[in-house]
Amino acid sequence: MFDDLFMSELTILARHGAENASLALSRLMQRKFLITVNEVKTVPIQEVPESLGESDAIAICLFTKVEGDIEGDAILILKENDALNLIEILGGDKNVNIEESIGEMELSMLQETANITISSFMNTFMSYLNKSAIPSSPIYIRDLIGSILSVIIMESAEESDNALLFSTQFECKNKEMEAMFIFLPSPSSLKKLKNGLTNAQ
Amino acid sequence: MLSKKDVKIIKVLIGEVSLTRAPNLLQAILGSCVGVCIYDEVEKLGGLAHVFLPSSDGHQSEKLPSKFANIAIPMLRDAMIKHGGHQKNLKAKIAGGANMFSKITVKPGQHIGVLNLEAVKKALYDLDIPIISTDTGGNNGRKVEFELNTFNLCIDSPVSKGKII
Amino acid sequence: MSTVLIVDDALFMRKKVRDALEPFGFKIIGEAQNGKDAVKKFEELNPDVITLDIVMPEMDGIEVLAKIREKNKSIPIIMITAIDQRESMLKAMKLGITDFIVKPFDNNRVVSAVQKAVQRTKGNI
Repeated sequence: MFDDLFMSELTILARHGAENASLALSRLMQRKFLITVNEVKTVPIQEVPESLGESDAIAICLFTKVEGDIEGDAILILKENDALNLIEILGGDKNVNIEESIGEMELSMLQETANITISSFMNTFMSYLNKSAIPSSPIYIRDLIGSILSVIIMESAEESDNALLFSTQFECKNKEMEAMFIFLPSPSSLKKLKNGLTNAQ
Repeated sequence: MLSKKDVKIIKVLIGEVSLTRAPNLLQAILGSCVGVCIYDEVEKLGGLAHVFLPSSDGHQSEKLPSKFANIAIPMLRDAMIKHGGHQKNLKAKIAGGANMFSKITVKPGQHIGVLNLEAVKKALYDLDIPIISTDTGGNNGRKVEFELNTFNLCIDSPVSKGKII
Repeated sequence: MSTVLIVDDALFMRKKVRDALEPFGFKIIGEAQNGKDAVKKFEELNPDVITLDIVMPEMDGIEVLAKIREKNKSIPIIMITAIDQRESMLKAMKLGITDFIVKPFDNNRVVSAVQKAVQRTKGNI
């Protein structure tokens, strides 16, 4: 299903997407912000929940549904502490009680960070493929990493055995943050993606 | 007295079915999945099925057929019998089936957690295995640990820690 | 004083647009956080300029744009969105927009877009 060529093309495109997302976030945060793509990999669906490690840790997840020529789910997952760091950088209240109820301003900061990151990736991919794919407004979920991921892969699991993972690292002010960007194209969109890349050559 | 290192923690990933004996622990992280523990107190034997979807109907050539409730539960029962469990001793505890993404409906109508729970209950009923206790539904994920020494099912979630059923 | 209606589902983004415009003498006459609310507030408040996000719950920005254009052909509308894709931009341009700004923006970019939009309308009168 995924040959080496396709995976390496996808990796290059993802790195390009990360570069654009870095520029966008740097502008948003008004300081240097770097997203790097460590690797793009395919993972058997049932291994996705373990793919971030610490599947029983609590994380913040921002989930969007992508619609258009390419459809699927795009998700940004942050460690809880890193989410608080982002809120602080954006001028929000770092001491917000993220366990009980996050404030509307802090919530929209995280949603907008996810919106801009995911949109940047999509913009890059779509301009290359000359297609359109629009992510929905991000939905915020705070829960166990493994639980979140298992629910996310639920829809794809009926039709496909593998998921696409973009393992990314966020860095700001010498603070490294671990984040995971996951894109789960629907099986038919994955085919389009593959054809699009192959034909683009 | 058992030291910690004698206790093996066995992670049961999505769609897997695992069987073990005391003093080991079976662990699973659940969202809308359902963790189904079947055990035989006399033989000190127990297993956990990490059910992901309700039914295999309409799905062919699956690499992991045990992700479906209607396949995983009979599979776990058969494995229990094969390893010395007795049908008359078998009991079950279940946890999971949350509706975490209340804003994202997986299928119009019902959410998958409910469907999973219904399928699990039906499969256990068909096999004549009584359900002793449950911790299901809600909007949060769960980390469950099934202790083969005590047959306690310990449940942690972002909203409650250390629940035992 | 020119009045602006800000439409974006994220409070944080509405604040960013407000913070960019207010120091330059624009009056934020209202904010809307979804498409339906945007159409309603446009009718109630009769602003001079609208800034409009694309991705929103309950009617997206393109639909809002179409709805407003049915009623008013001339009010300047500036899209402010993270979606930098040909198709969305084309759709918006066909329906009639004054500018298209990709988030995150430089404040100056928003200010000058709104200033130009206001001047253009005033010139027409």
